[in-house]
Amino acid sequence: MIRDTARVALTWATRATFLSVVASCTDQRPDSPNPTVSFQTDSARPHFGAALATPVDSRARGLDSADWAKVFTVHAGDTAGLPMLGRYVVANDTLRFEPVYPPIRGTRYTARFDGAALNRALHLSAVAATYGSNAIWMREFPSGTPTTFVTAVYPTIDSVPMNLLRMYIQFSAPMTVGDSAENHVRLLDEKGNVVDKAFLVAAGGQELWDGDHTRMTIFFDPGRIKRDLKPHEALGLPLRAGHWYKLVVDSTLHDARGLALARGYVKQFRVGPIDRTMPMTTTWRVSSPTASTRDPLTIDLPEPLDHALLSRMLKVLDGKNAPVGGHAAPSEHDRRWTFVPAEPWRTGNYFIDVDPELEDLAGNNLRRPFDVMPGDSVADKNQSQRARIPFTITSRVPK
Amino acid sequence: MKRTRAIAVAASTLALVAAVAAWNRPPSNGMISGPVDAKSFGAMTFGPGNVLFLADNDAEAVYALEIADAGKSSAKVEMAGIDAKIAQALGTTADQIAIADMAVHPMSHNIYVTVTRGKGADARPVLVRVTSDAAQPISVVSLDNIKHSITKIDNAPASTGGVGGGARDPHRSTITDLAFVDGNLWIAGLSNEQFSSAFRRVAFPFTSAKEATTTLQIYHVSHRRSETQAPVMTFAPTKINGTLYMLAAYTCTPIVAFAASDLKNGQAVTGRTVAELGAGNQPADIISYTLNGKGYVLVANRTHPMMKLSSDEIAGAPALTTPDVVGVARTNVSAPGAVVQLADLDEQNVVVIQKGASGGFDLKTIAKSSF
Repeated sequence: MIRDTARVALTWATRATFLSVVASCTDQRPDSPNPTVSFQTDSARPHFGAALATPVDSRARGLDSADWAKVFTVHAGDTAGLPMLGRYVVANDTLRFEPVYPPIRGTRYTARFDGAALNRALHLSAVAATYGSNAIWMREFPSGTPTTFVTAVYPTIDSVPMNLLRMYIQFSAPMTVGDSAENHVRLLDEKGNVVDKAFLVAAGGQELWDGDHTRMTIFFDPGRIKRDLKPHEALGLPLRAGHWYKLVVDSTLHDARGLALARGYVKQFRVGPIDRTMPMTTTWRVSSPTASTRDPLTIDLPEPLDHALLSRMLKVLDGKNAPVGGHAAPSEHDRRWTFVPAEPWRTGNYFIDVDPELEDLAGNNLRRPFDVMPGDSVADKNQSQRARIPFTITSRVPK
Repeated sequence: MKRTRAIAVAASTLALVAAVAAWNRPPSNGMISGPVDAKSFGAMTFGPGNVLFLADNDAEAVYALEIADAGKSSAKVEMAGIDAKIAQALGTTADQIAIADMAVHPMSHNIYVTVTRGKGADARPVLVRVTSDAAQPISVVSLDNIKHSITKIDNAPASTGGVGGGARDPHRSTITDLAFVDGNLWIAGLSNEQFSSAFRRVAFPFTSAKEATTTLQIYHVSHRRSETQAPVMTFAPTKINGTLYMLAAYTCTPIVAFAASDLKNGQAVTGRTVAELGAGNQPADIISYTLNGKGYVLVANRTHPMMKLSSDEIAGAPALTTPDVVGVARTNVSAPGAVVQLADLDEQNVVVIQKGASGGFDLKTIAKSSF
């Protein structure tokens, strides 16, 4: 049996008193006893609820959904508000309401069978009977031990530029999106005071997540970072050079199951000078692996670059411009990029292709600084040339 | 006799082939009937005819949906406590829903609202229709079998090739606003990795041809000529004296005008900042309309009041070069931060979702003449 009817346990029957009305004509009386209202759960899909009323008047079985919607309703909370949308099915003597959407955790649902409305629908106007039933059911909050936690906050390095543009919070499992994260993620100064208005809150409070909902991006308010803007002039940058700060992620954030985090997370970092220098590939040190090996190709960077962009904006091409398969990953606090080829290296010329939109921690990319003032030296913003770093694979020289 | 039969067979075969061809041929706007497996609903806008463009950020797509409303209601669509009532119809409470956007059907004038119902793993996208029908003011648009077409928002960075491992690309664009004008869908987005403009133009009907999508880099100059790139939070196509402009509103809160003809594929464009609506603010919605022969722009704000500006002044306004100059004159037309959703309803009215007295939100029709 897939369906298990939790009729009694979850039912709070407020069976209205069935009034035995003396009617002049017996077929004007309801032919069924007061129906029992209950909620049903589906063990295959445990949270899908249906509401049942049984038995229903035999004459009512031909009623359509619009009629039933006046007779048998399910409400979130009490019956004062609009009923839930759903569809009605009558099978044998049971009326079944299937909501369009499954019940929400922690919400109390009330199913109500309104006998007077049924009488009206059946034109049993001579009967003054009021009969009806209610049932209440609640989908329980999730239970279980919290297991989700913050695995890392990027940048992982403990020294950042004063004009740090963004941080990524990586979680071990999918999270609830729209959990008012701004109330659970705080920036504290050395005295433990919250740094006010540090972060950008996008229109509508939209949070920036990856597709799996495991990584959240927080931008420092760009209005306070970009020169010449009012917030910059009025409030200054959110971070001050020479000081320590803490980014605190409270355990009160909820994961996708609705459970709190197993523990909070504190990322402490020191703030250094402003960085308005564009990253230059000419300052990168590239190792050249040996032919016939799968030795890693590494690039050592003079400064940490943005973790997310460094993870995806570099690729290796062979002499014919064909991509070389393999696994790439940043390491050393995003000051190193390592690429392990899927197949052993062959002798010949290769390139590392770099997207010019690759940014450092302050949002400066290979094409331009994060903000440009008259007199700043800046590359042509129309430049679409990709940076290319050549390297050559040679055979190991016999000793 | 044989010949006649052969002709008849040939004719019927031709008819059959033609019928099969007609059956298989997609309709002229490229939309086919079937289910839409939506993951999330965000910004939306109506396009030509009954077509609703709807952003799905989690699926990295924009859907074109045929919303075949019959007839036009003459009654005003108003609903006090719209958030609570939508929640009730969806079987939950107002704290369990989030309204992402609102759009007005151009023919029926029914109000469409994108809603996320539930949270975490329970979160489901819902397209809600709000009408003046007292018997059923709120209904849900079923996507189980709907005429639709899809354009994917290509977030896949060009440079991931060659990096294997099978890991999913965590890069996402959150679409902040959509607008349809002159056969093109314009899409503004906010990246979760870069604070830069992600502005696209896609020809409709959607095709798979890559050249149908234009990626635009938009810069704007603020104050003392510092030049910057930033995501567009909301924008409105506006025709002023025959020229199509995109009026874009950014975080804290420059209004920047671009001539649409300047926006060419792959090229960087610098727009003109014509107004500063104030710091510490996010623009919520921007629309343009004509009333009594004069053009206006309305900007709803998260912190500041909704403001009315003149299109003519915007067309002729010089670029702002000094931080203390606020640019084009504006009139405050709401309480601060009151209007959270704004859409053009008809020649005389706009429709808003605004904060109600009881703490919830109300759907209201407001005469343009009252601003």
